[in-house]
Parts: sequence; C-alpha cells; structure tokens
Amino acid sequence: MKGGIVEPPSAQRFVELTILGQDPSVRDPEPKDERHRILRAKARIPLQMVEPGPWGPRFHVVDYSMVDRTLEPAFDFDRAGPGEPQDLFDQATDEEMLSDRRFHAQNVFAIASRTLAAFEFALGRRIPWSFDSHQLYLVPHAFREPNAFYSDAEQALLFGDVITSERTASTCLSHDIVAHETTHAILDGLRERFDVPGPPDQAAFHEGFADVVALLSVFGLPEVLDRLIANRPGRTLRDSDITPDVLRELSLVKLAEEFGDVLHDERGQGLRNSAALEPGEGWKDLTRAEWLEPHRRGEILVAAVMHALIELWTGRLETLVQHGELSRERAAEDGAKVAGHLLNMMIRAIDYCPPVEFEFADFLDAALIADQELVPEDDHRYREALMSGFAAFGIRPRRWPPRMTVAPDTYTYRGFNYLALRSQREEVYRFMWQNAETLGIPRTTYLKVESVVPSVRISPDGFVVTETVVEYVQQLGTTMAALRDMAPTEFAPLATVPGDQRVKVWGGGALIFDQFGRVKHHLFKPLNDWKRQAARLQYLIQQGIRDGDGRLGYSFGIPRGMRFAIYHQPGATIGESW
Amino acid sequence: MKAVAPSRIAVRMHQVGFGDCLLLTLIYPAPVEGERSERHVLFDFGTTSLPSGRKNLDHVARAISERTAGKVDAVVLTHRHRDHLSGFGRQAIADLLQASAPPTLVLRPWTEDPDADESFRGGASGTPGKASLGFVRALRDADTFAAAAAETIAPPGSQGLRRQLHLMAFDQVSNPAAIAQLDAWAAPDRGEYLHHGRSTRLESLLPGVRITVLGPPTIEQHPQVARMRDVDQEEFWMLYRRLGEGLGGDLRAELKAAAEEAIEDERRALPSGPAQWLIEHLDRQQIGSYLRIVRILDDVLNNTSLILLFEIEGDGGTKRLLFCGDAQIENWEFVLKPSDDAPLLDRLTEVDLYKVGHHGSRNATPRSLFNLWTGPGKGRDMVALMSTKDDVHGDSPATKVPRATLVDALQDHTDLFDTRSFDADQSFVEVSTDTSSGSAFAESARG
Repeated sequence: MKGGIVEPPSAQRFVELTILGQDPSVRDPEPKDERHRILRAKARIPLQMVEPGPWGPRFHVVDYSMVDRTLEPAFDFDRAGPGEPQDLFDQATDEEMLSDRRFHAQNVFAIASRTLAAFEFALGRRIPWSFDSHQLYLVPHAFREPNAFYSDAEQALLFGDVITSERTASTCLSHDIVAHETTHAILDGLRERFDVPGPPDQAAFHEGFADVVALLSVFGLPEVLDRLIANRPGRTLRDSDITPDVLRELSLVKLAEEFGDVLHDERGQGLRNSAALEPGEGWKDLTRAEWLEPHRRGEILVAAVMHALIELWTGRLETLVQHGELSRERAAEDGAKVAGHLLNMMIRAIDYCPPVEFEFADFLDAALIADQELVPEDDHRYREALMSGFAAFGIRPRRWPPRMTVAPDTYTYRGFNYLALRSQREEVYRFMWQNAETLGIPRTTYLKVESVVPSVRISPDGFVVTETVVEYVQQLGTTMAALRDMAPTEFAPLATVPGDQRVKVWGGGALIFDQFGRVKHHLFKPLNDWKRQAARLQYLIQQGIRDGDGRLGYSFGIPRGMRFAIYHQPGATIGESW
Repeated sequence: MKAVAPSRIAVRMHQVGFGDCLLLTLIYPAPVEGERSERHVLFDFGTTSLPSGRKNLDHVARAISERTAGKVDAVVLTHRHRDHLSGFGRQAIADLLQASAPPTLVLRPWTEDPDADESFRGGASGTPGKASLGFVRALRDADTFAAAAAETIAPPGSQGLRRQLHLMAFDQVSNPAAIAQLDAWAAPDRGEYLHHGRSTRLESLLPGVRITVLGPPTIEQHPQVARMRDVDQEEFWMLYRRLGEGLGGDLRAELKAAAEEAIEDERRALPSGPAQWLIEHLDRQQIGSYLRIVRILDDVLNNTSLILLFEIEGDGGTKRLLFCGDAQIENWEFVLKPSDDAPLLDRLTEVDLYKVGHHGSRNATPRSLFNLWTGPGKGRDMVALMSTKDDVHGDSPATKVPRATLVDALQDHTDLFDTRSFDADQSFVEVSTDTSSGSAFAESARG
C-alpha cells in the first residue's frame, strides 16, 4: 500500500460496498440475527483510486460539521493492505453502522457514486458538474436541521441531522435522500438552464425527476424490493399478490409510508403524496394554487412513472406464475430489473429534452423518441407502459410517433467538418446559422450553443447507437411594450402590465446528430412562440416570480447556493401561500 | 327587553412601523351596566422597526389613552413576537394605557400560560395536556436558541444574511418586561389563555358581541398531530427542543467563545487543500442553516397566534371582524377543513373586516380562506387592515414582506388600508360602521 492509493487489478471494473437499503428504521424481514436487523444492500460502483475521505475522481467526502466546526478524520477504505478497496462494513452490526462516521461516509459515497454511474452508463459519457471542478463534495453531517440539499456555490451536497434526546436522524443515512440530492447535482450539470423561470412544469421537473431517480434507485435493489413484497411467511407469492393494485400497495404505498418520518416530513413528503395521487387532470388547472407549487407538481411526474413501473412489473410477473405461485426472490429481481431499465429510459430522455421552456409532455416525447432509437421494436412494451402512465394524468406525447418534417438532405453540410461538428460549439453554431431556415430558427435572435457532447448507448441486444447531442438556447431581453408590438393579440391578456416592465423570454432545443453527422432529431421550443411566451409571463406574474430588480423571466431571485435548500419546504403550505 | 348591543363599531389601526397595534371600540347606545357607553379592546402593541422619524411609540399610547379615557377593557396579545409585544414593556406606554384603570381582562394564547407546568393535565376536550406541555417546553428552548442567534451568532450591526438572522431571531426573543407587565395586569384572575373552541369572559365584558376562538389549537386538538404515529408526535413538536443542549453545554458561553476566539487558528489547523477551501466557503451556509432554523421557529411562534372572530348582530345584519395575529396555514387548517363545520365556514365567508395576517406575508392569509371571500357571487364589501413596513423582512422577491401578489389580491377584492400609504405624520386610520345599517366599514377618522 502506498499512502492509501490502491492499484486495482486490471480485470476488475466494479467494487461492491455496503449501504443502507433505505434508512435505519427499515428492517430486514429475515435478519441473520438480532444485531443485524437494519436492511442492508450492496452498491456496485466503478472501481477507482480512492484517497482517504473517501476521495475519488468525482466525489470527495469531507465530514465537517458547521455547527461545532469539527472535522472528522478522513476515512481510508483500504485498511487491509494492498489490493482492491475493502468493504469494512460488510459484517458490521447495526450499532457499528449507526455510530461509526466512517460508515456514514461510505454510505453517501457509494450511493452518490452508484447514482452517477447510472447516468453515465445510460448516456454513454462522463457527465461534468455545473461548476468548474471535477469533484463534488459530500458533507454527511453538515448542519443541524432535517434538510439536505445541493449547493452549486459550495460545489457540495450538504446533509443535515436532527438530534433529539431519543435519537439522531441523519439525512446522510437515507438512501432516497442521498440519491435525490445527487440527481439535482447531476441534472444541474446536464441542463443548467432548468432553473431559469419557465412554465410551471419546468420548476417542478427538478424535484420530480430527482424523486423518480431516488425511487427507481431504491427499487433497483432486489434486497429492498424483496422486503417490501414480503407480505406472508415463506418465499413464494400467489398470483393474487401480483395484481397492479396489490403490488402498488405492497411496494409503493409501503415505501411511501416509510418516508413519513420527520426527515421526509420537513421535505414535503413528495414520494408519499405521489403514491396516493389518483389519476386525473386536475393538476393542469392553473387557477388551483396547489398545483403551481413546484414540488407538488413534480409529484405528477413521479406518479406517472410509478404507474408505468407497476404496469411493467405486473406484466412480467404474470408470465412467471406457475400453479398460482411464483418465487418472491424472482419477483423482486424482476422488479429491480424493470426499475433499472426504466431508469435508463428516464435518464436518456434528458439528452433529447429542450433546455428551456420545458413541459412534462416534452419529457415524454424525449423518452419515447430516445428509446426508439435504441430499441426500435417495443417488444417489452416499455414505451407503451410509459405512455399509459403519463396518459393517466393527461400527459400525451406531442411528437410521437416521430415524423420527419424535414428531409435529411434538406440541410446543407457542405463546408462543414464532420469531426468538428461532433465536438465544437463554433462549428455547430455555423451549421445552425447556415441552416437556420430549415431548422426554423431566426438568425436575428441571440442564440448560443451551450454544449456539444457525444452519446454512446448500448441497447439490450447489443446494438450501439452513437449520437452527438447539441443543446442550444435563444434569449431576448426586452420590455412588455416591445413584446406587445411584436404580437399584440398574444400579449393582449397582459395589457395591464406596464410597458417598461423588463422581461426575458427564452427558446431553445436539443439537436441530435447521428453517427454520420446528419441531423436526426430537432426537439425545440421556438422563442417566437408568442402564445407560449404570454402564458409563461402570465404565470410568472401570478406567482410573483421576479429577480431582485423586479424583472420577469431572468431568475427566481434566490441567492446562489440556496435555491435547492429552498425547494425543500414542509408540505403544509402547498397551495395556500402567495 | 331588547338585548344590549353596540350601535357602532370602530377599529383604529395605528402606525407602528413593522408591528401591530389595533384598537377595537364598541359604542353602545347607553352606558353599559351603569358605566361607560364604550368598550375598548387593544390588539397587540409592538414593533421591530419604528416608523420613520420616530424614536418610540409613546404618541400611539397617548392617542389610545385619549380615545379610551385611560381605560382599555381588554388587552389581547395574539402571540409573543416582539413586533406585537414590545410596547407593553415600556413603562411610559403601560402608564398611559392604564391612566384611569388597568385592563379588566388580558387574553393570550394557551402557549403563554405561566402555570403550564402545573395545570396542563388534559382531560376535557381539547384542553392542553402532556403533548401541549411538551410543546411549551420546546418553545422555551427555542427562545434560548433565538437569544443565542440574536446576540452571538448574528449580533446587532450584522450585515447580509447575518442581519436577516439577527432580525428574525431578535423578534422571537421573549421580552421579559412586556411579559411582566401583562402578567401584572392578568393577576390574580384577570388572565385567560385561550385555545380553539374555548369560551372567553370577553363576551361578558362586551354585551351583544359573540366571540369565537378559532385558534390556536392545542397539540391534542391539531389533526396533524392526531394522525401521526406516536413516536413522531413527540419528535415533530419537539424537533428543536434539544437544539440548545445539542450544541453543547452553556450555549451562550460556547457560542461567544466560538465567535471571539481565533477562528483563524482553527483554520490553520485544517489540512490545506480542497477540504480547506470547502470549509472556508461553508460559513455562509452555516448562517443560512441557522436562518432556516430560526425561520421554522418563527413560523411555529406565528402559529401560536390567537384567531378571534367577533360577531355583532344589528338591524343591518351581522358584522364580522376577524383578528388573527400572525397565524399561518398550520393554525388555520384546523379551522378550514372542508365540511367539518359548515356553519363556521359560512360565517367566515361573510367577514366585513380582516386584519391582514403577519403584515402581509405570503403564508398568513391562506388562499382557501381568501377564496371564501372572492369568486363568483361573492361581492361583500370588505375592509382589510394591513400594518406593515417595507424592507424589514425578506431578502428576495419570493420572501419579501409584504408579499406583492397578496397585496394585489387584497387591493382587487377589498378596501385595503395599508400603513405604508399613511401620510408622513399620520398616526392612525379609523374605520367604522353602524350596526343598524347594512353599510360596510368605511374610513371615519385619521390622526
């Protein structure tokens, strides 16, 4: 061993580390003994050089408490000598896990790593953070409150504790909270503009998507699923146990109830509310203030995905029933597999989403179109189930099935460098300028190519899809008077807004090139869709969303580093505040 | 014989900057019980930011003393935030308010009962019991933390986030002089500590007035507590009970030491490199964390506010006045549950005067309450009184008090009287109405 740096054996690519399946309150129904009652799981993460911290290439655990200004010693994985990192907590008792800060460090490190690995696998590339560093700090016991959040300003995930005379509840030991916060950080790196004031769905998406990832992350652990569906003694389920309603009750509702502790209560009970949501379209009524709250609206996204998850899982299990029974272990494995595939679909959809002016229907479009590229035949009905799940809440695709509105050879490629088009923002901008009419983008509006990234995805049957994903935004800072001049009819409902009111309107899209550098898809929200812009401004005015200078559409007016802290608010005020 | 009832109702809202001070005056056609023909109820008297050009609120007390001839029949302290309480701690003000005689009755929420440790046994429906006692003790610990926050973590003169922390924490710190004055007026048996549904002796002081205590609920009454699991009941309300102890030992002394001693020495002891960078950048988050805690405690204290509905019958119909201190949704939701008490909701639909909750903040006029007053077919003329001041609370458009979207809605649907639009030397506005006519409240005086 050289100073804690371990050279991994060349053949091994992953390491498994013990984590909590959910949180300390959740028990294993068949523990090996009284000292090992908390449900555990194994997180499989990419093998990597790890300095004491743990401190790897993407995450750095710093166990510092702001309250008493103490810094815990860095945790060194490898205490056993040279070789692969050892899981020191593989046999640890409950007491050891809860009291040993090194396990807390391992728990956050492993869950965060697992979550990032899921994104990088799904998208086929490394994902940068939104800030100018390669590493995200993880601070497991940062402060003394029932909250945890991502701060781009401090380049960190900060986790809080609640300490009462009876016990300590730590957010760093909640699997779903760690996965949720890691997702915020990842999504901020993928789509930084999602926190620009947009339609109601856009503010909700960050919370909803983070909850989706957290839920599917927990579901993706067979150990957890096996425990959730263990409703009778023995290792078998009956066919009456695998109807959609029963599975939903056994798994999702039960899971959601377990999220009802004080930690989740203070964070708005999103997953719990999602499990209880009845299908319907009432959430679309923008006169109902309840559904304008971002985390409440995000529950729709979670509910739609859960609907799809149950439908898919039930469908698979029905084929496995023999003589009215099936193995509970097999049922759990299948559920975890479905959750894993669905998670890949959800993550891959991000690449195909417009970076601004985003609505849930855009996400559905993106998920379907991206999945079709990878799995042309929907033999396992994933797309069908997803459409069904979203349709239950009145969300229907707008670009499905995808139609080629522009023939591929309409674009001009002459004079462009194929390799540069796959990597350089300036080359892509030149292409967009040259092909502005074909793309439907006016040259006279400010446009910026935000990113040009490769994507390599592998289908279940080994088919490789290589793409270049381009994200661009348009923006126009102007006044209400100028907007009314441009589109008097569309902005008539905003006639009482003062003419000198400063506003910013946005447009943007995702441009997908195939492996030959040809435009394959263009999913965009035009800046000059004035009806959409008027509706957005009306929403911002109604909600009082302005920046510190009273301008509309520039920012939420929340200090940097605090925006995700403020997302997590207790649920009682949902729909009641102004 | 016709029952005695007021013939005229007047409410004065005084300019106190960021705070509340309202005087309800009921004028009877003849002396009541052979005494005066007026009765006066004072709702709160406090500020955390004086009106421009003022050094104290003695002039407000003089005006009240003049109006009441030195006798306020009842003092209502909706809750013990400084901006509702501070005036009572100034001897000059107290002397003016009781120039002729002290108040006959002092009303406070059940959380202010000084005998809680001995008397909270539960039993009768909704009366405070063990869980409520736990909550009261949690409030005492919260007070300790607020004091530490206001004096040590974010002392006077702090800027930026620390200034926000100081202001909010300072507002929460109990004011011993004011409490002592109210206790003196309440002794030996002139104090009431009210909870939802409790009757009040104020009704006998104000003939012809029906008073309904809508809030706050005791812990035993609150549905959110009732539906939580046993272990969570205690934890939820005692969430920060041990915060002071959790920070270790003598809180104030420790925090003072941490603030004054060489923080630089601590940082030099840290390993240089990325971890040091992070730690040095976390200071702002630490203040942000304290601020979030203090905001939660602030909400908790707001939700101890008395919510009182006054109803006066007259030939012109029933006049309803709603005073709610700084009550927020958690306090209101107990009352606004759909269909549980339809007659009560019907009465709340017909409010004539609304004292705007919490100085116009975003969380203290629940939309479901506001929706009772608006919408198709609802055109009752209503007056809203909002006592507030700009640039005291809220560091972003979303958190600014008062909240612009609420103010716009109040202006659209009510006759809003806002202390921010008072003339420079204006001390109060008075709205009044006759109970014999169906006319709405209208401005009748200003001073």
